[in-house]
Amino acid sequence: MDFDPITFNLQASFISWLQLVGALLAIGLGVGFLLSFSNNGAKGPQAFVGGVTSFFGELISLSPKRILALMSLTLKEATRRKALLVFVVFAVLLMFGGWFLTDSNERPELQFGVHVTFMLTVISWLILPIAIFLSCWGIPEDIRIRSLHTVVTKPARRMEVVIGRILGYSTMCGIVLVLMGVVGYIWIQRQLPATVTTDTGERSLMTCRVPVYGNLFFLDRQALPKEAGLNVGDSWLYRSFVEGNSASRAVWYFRGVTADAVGDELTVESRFEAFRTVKGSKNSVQKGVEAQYTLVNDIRAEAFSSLGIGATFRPIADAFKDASFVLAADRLDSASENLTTAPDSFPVTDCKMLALACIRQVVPTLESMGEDFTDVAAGFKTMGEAAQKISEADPESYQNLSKACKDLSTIVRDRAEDLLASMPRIEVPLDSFAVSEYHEGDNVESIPRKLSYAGSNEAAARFIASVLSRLNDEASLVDGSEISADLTATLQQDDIGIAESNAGLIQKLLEEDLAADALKIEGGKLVVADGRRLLTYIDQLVREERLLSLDAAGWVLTADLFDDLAPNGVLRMEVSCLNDQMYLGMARPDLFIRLKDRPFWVGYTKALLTIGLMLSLVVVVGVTASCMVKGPVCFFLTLTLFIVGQYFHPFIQELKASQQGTGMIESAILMVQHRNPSTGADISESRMQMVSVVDNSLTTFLSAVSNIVPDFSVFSASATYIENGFDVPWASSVLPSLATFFGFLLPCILIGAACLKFRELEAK
Amino acid sequence: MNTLSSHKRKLVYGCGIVFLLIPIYYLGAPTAQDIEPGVKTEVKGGVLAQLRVRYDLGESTLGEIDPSSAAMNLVLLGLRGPAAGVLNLQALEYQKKKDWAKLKTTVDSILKLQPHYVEIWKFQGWNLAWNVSREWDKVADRFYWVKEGLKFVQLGTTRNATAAILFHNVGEFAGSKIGNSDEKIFFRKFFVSDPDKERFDGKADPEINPSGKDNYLVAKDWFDIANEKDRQFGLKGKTIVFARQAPARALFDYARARQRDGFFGEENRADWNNAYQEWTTVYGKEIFLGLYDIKYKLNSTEEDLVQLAEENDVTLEVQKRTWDSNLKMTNYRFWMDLADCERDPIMVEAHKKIFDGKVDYKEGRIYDDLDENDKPIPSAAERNFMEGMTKMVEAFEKYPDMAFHDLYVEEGLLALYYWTKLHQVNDKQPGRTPMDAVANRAQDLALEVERQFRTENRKGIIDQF
Repeated sequence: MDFDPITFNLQASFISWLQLVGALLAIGLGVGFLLSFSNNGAKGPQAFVGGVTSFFGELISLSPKRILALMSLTLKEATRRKALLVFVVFAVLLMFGGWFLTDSNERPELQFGVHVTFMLTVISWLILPIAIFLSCWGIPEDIRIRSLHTVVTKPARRMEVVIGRILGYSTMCGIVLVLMGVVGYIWIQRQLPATVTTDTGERSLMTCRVPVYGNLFFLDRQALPKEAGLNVGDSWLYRSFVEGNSASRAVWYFRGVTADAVGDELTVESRFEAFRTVKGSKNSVQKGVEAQYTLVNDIRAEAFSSLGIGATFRPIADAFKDASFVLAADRLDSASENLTTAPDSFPVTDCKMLALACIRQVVPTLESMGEDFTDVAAGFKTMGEAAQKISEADPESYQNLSKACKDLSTIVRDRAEDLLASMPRIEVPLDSFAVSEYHEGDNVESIPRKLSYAGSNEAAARFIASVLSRLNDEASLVDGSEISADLTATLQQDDIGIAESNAGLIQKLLEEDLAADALKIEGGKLVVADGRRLLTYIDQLVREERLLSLDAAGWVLTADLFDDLAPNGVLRMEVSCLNDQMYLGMARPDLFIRLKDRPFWVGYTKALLTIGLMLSLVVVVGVTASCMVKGPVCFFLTLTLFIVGQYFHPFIQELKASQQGTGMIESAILMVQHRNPSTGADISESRMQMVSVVDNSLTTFLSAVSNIVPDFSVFSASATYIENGFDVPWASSVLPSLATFFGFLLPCILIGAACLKFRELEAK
Repeated sequence: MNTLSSHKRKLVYGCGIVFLLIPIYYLGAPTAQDIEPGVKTEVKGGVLAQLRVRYDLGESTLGEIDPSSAAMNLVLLGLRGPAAGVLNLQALEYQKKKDWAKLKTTVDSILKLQPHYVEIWKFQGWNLAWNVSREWDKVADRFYWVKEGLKFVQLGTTRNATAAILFHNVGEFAGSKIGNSDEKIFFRKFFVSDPDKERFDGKADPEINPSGKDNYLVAKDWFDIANEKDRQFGLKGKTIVFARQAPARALFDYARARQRDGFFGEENRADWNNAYQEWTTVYGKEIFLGLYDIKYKLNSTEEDLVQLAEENDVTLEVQKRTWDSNLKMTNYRFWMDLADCERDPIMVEAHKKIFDGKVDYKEGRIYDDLDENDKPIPSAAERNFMEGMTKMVEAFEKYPDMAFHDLYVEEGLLALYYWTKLHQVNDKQPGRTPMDAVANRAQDLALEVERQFRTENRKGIIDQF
């Protein structure tokens, strides 16, 4: 399964549509004017204005009653032409379809997709010929047998004829579609069991999962961000891989993760692919490769992850990411000095990458933080701008960068404590799980709102500092000139929940440092002797490894999923592979938040709706074409447009967008000369320029044509979702289908009506 | 202008119809007999029906008829070639995109279109069992797809009852794929006790193993059928003299696999004896055609050679040359000696003692004890290894060719390696052993033996996954 749902941009599409329709209208009016002028001579303009006025006049004088009457006639005509005979074929296919499908895969979960695909394909392919035949032969046949004359002599407008026909044939297709859909739904239910039993228990087969997708990027084994992970040699580049037992991660950002949106429990589902470079242990072979989710709220990673892409500045970035801001300031000082004394050791590419990271990542993140860090952001901005201007030919540029580093160092050193307090990193690793690979729906994990976890050193330091600060404020931390004797007991209380051994350790350390004058008591409160904040002091204790947990379970902390890990509704989930020499492959849709499932019929109905829209669009194209040309020509035109739109539209888009290869004429020359694109054609430069001009014109023509041919593949995309057990998403499937249909409906009605109006109906 | 009345015209039409029915019946009348696939016998019926049977062109002469396949071909009106081509391309795309369910369905559809295209049965069967199965991570899933491949080719045998190679392929799937894969430890277990407990209740999947037998024994059954089919219809795609040895080789593999599973003693001796008998009295007694269509028999006595030379109308020297070259080509004597050696109680005892020594080593019975006079008594492991090496050298003396077979040399040297390690553990100098001469001769195997020692210590003796 390889779909990647992309949200349809309605606004941008509407603007493109307006431009295209406007251009077509202008061309149509221009051609009409010229024809009128050539046919009527001096009276041409007057006739043109008259024609245009009467044509657009029809638009505002359309009668729903007449349209409905025409639609009803069309329906009768379609029934008379035995369109409903298609049900016989449908019945035969349903009778024998099971022969081809059920035996193929023994596992019901594998049969599900095949059955749904079969049903949706059968429905669309059976109705499609009816839609094409009826719509293409309707009006030409009326003209041939002159029944149209009786209609147009009535007060019926030509546009009403076109709309009536479209509505009539579409309704016919709709009726057939609904009937087939209902029968098909019952058939699928009868063919497959309601539930399947998997390794993880029993689950319902006939449901529609509702996914919320995030954005994906990767961290390499040095924890540096990368657009894609590793390539393990698979010819299908859909997934890229993270290395097991390393710092390599796949990182997803999910938006809109709030208690209101997802409920009190977050359900996530994945379908990763495993790749082994060794057989692995017996246990691993039986259970599968293990993966682990880690929920992370790490503003430092968001700010500084790209800072170290250039190796020269990596130590500085590491210090920032580690919250060692004073160390970072020291390293900035060192870099400043080296930039003056040994500028050669700072490659230009590293400086450029530093500039990009500062301007695009660090500055926006710092500016988005609640507290006022404009001075720090300004320092990074100055450094980024200076790094951007680095040039080997310009020694002064190195001096400027050196100065910027020095200035930033001063700012960071001054604001180190503020930065430490405001840039936390919370990391909650969840229980590992075995990857089920292609067993769709097996890797489902529920994450509770309240999470208990063994905190990292930093998380422990922040927690202890916040507890001690609260006790300090409540005046229960100290007793006279000493640490309160009850502190150990207080720290063990339910609302704090520190283990006895660790609580004792904190009390002991505080008493030692108080005795050693590292701490002092002022105004009944415990403060750090040198004026630093309590957090900074505790952080130092952790870094000096004086606060190592004495409890085997570590510093057990709790975090709130929404308040602590997704404070702005943005949740960062990291996925790692736990087995050494194994790899996990993943693509963006491979991990998603699963909202409450919907019944199968919901997605199935949406899939039928998109099929209905596709058939209606075929009718629209067929009726429009039948207003211009005769039946057989119209049939082939519509069929061609459908085939091109269904199967070759993505290819045309690829041709338009592709930067590789050469143009059509140049390719032809290369083929004749038996040469390849890298060596180029053996022709003179002037001729090559001519060839390029022609090729560019052809590409422009292709581009124009690609917008005129409807993209029928949009409609069939819905089947991909439903056959894989997903609900058909509104924004990336139903909406584009609706937009495509209506986008073509209006221009086609106008073109059809105009052709019918200005066409000589006597011509057979 | 037609002067006949309506009544007369109808009479003329009627006569015409009757007249035309005669050649139609003569040419197209079907046969009422049940046709045994591939027999090419004379049948009663129309000319076309007789020709179909004679040249194996009819559906019923090739194997079972699948009604859905026939219906599909009828519907496509002769366009099955292009349709199958498109489906093949689709199948490749599904495989690339790892849509396994659709791949299987598409492959099934291709076979509905071309049920007698043997190469597709072969290719897709191997594709499912080898390529698709390895794409899955869990061993139970891999087994499922190996089964799918096996069942697929098995179905091919019913549709193509004359294609001996498909029967041979089923045997290869059951034998080699199940028994020689990286996952063989699991696959062999799963073959008799399917991991899908819900469907098979801990028993074998009846579709591939109805009697719940060992995979090699199932393979042997299929090879036997393939050989029989070969005798009837011929076998394409494999050299006959090699194809025919498959049942005996399956028995060799079975006996060897039982040893790997830790079964020694009379039962295993009987397995080796069966293999020996199959090799010498069944395979060895078959008549094959050699170069210039000279008939030969691998297990030939001097009298047999003289008789065959007369039958072939060649000199005894030519007959012997043909025979000898094929003996070498098939390695006939080696396999005969191997089975002979393995069914010998001395070699069985050697294997058992060495295996017991390894079990002792793994379970910690490695330290020397002291008797009442404080004299060291070698550990149980050491005693077993020493006895094993002694028996093995005895076997080498009895079957000198086996002393140069890497499999045995490595086993003996591995026992020596363990034995030496035991001396290190007990802090004593290793003395001389019966295996020393072999060790001196095969020093190039030292590294491999050391690797095997490490592997066995890491992963176990039997369950070396």
